[in-house]
Amino acid sequence: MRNLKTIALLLLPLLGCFAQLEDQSVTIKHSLCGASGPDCVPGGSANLTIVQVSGSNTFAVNFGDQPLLKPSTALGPATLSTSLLVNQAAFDMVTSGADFSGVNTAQVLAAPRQSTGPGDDPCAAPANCPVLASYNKATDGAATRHLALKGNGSDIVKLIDQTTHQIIIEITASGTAPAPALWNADVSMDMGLNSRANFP
Amino acid sequence: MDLRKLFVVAGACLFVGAGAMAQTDSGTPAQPEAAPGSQAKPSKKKKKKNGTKKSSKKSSRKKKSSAPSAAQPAVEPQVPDDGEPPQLTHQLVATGVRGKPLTIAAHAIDANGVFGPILSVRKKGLGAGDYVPIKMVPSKIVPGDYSVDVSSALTNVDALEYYIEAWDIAGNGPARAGSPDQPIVVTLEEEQKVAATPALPTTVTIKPKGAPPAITHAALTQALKGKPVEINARLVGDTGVQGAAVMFRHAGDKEYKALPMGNIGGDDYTATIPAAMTTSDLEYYVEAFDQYGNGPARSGAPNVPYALKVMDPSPAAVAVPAPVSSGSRKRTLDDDEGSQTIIGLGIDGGAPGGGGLTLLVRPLWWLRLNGGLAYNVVGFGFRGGITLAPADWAVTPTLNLDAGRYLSGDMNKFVTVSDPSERALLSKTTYTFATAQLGLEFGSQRRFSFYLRGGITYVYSRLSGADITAIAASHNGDPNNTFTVGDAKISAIAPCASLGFNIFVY
Repeated sequence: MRNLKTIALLLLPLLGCFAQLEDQSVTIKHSLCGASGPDCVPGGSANLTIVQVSGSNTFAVNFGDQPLLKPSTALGPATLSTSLLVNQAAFDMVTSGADFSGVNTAQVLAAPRQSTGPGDDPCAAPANCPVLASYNKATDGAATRHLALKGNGSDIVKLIDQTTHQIIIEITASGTAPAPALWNADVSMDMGLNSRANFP
Repeated sequence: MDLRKLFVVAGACLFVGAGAMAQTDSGTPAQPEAAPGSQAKPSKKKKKKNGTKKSSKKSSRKKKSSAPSAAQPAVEPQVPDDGEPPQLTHQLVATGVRGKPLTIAAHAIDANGVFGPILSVRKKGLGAGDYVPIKMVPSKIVPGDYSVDVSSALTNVDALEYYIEAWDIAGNGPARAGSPDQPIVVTLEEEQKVAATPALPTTVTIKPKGAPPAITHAALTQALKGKPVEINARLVGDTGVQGAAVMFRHAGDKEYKALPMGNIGGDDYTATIPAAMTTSDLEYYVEAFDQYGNGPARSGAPNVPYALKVMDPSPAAVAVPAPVSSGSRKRTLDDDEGSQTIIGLGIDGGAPGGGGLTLLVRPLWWLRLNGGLAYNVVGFGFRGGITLAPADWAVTPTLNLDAGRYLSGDMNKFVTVSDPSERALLSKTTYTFATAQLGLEFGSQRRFSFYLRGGITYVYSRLSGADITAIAASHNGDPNNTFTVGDAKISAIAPCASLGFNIFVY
């Protein structure tokens, strides 16, 4: 019995065995209207509710079939668990002469599905769409061509469709839209990747 | 008529008296102690009593015979067997001087003559079969006196026991002083001498007056635990040397043990205190006699012995003076100094750490340092570490701590990957590691040992952000996306095991 305790004590450190990959800066930048396409987001200093992209209330960001971007991956006898937490998001104005100075608040939401048309809001029920990042002019200061949204630690990996490798994004905002009738911006999300397998 | 009768009776009495005198004298020609005396009276009385009948017969024969028969005392010289053992007297010997001859004397008489006496002596406390018989020598001066010298070789003990037995020539006896069961005890004490000069000088020369040898001895001050100690001395005596011995004891003990010294040529003598005795500090002195027993001459003394400090055989221990300095000797595997080996080689292999060839250095008996090359099939690296071996047993537990880094490695040899970006990343498999292992080492810590170890290893590696970005781009599913990835860290704590061997050569 005493020997068993000794052996158990000696093996105790093995309970802390793991393998882990960490990358605190994984950034994906998505052009709302395409890198070379025409501006596609309505502006004209109109009041903002949902930011429509190419006439839709949502848009998709395809991560591609990236290694590790699965909630869990079998790794021999162990299971590799991955998280991709949003550090922050940002809008960078592409259209010249336009800015975000009229925007009071903005949120990047993960929608459960694509919007079927201008009248279809998948995030009408807020509970369906977790907030990935948010901006508040009152607390974060006025933005110009760069609008930064603070991440709230949401794990995107769980929101990526494992078949299409896409995440559906909806942007809601308040205030006034940029002055041009149409504008374009790059949306970026900075995330922290952590993949860890515990042994045994 | 009355006057004639008176002359006849007077003549007969004179004849009988002369005959009796003649018989008494002829019976003890070689035993003058049998002459009439106070001590012989009890025997004489019995002799008379026994001889009365013979005497009466003789007298009747003599009466029948004539004077010539009475005039032949030499023809019948033997005294008839009296059936009695000799009369033995002995002055008890209660004390003696240790290491010196012990004289024991006795007085024995018998009308038939004395056989012996025999002195039987043993060390006190030994068994009945351990008595040493020694025939006592008759005195050439005093009839009936016998003595013997118990040699100094037998008196180097605390006490002796003895008894004396004597028989007469007819076999009557034994008469005893003491007995095998109740022997006489002689306490042997150290000779009372003025203490010699304390043994601070390393060289002491004693030249006592007279014959004892002169002793020249370089006193030893230190010895290694578990190692024999050789003690040398030069003994020079005009009348020879005998009984040379090293008297030693453990510090704190009362009694010394005698270790005879052997001649190794010329006047040089040596003795070796066995390794089994060098377990704690010792005290010793050297003594010797000449061939006539004069002495002892001593270097050191029982009450002022040389102190021999016994130290652990660690590298830090000071070497005992030796005929040849250790610095002039080259160590070999067969050398006893193999126990002091400090440099060696180690070869091992294991998972996931790979194998290694390391140089071993042992600055302390319980501590080993290692450093050398590491190889894990994927690539080469370097490593170093320490091993703690808290014992030097046949199977020794160890704690090993190592750290190192693999400088190159190409995992593409083991992984089938077609993506050039991923191949580029796998071609730069470098990592840093540290291990902590408990092990068992079998064999000699000083020479060759085989070991098994198990424990945990920590691995750390950094992946280039540019390489990862390239991989992400290659998997990009949307041309409107751009990936930028920073450097990634890979770390792991995993079980590890290894086996190998160490060999110390110098």
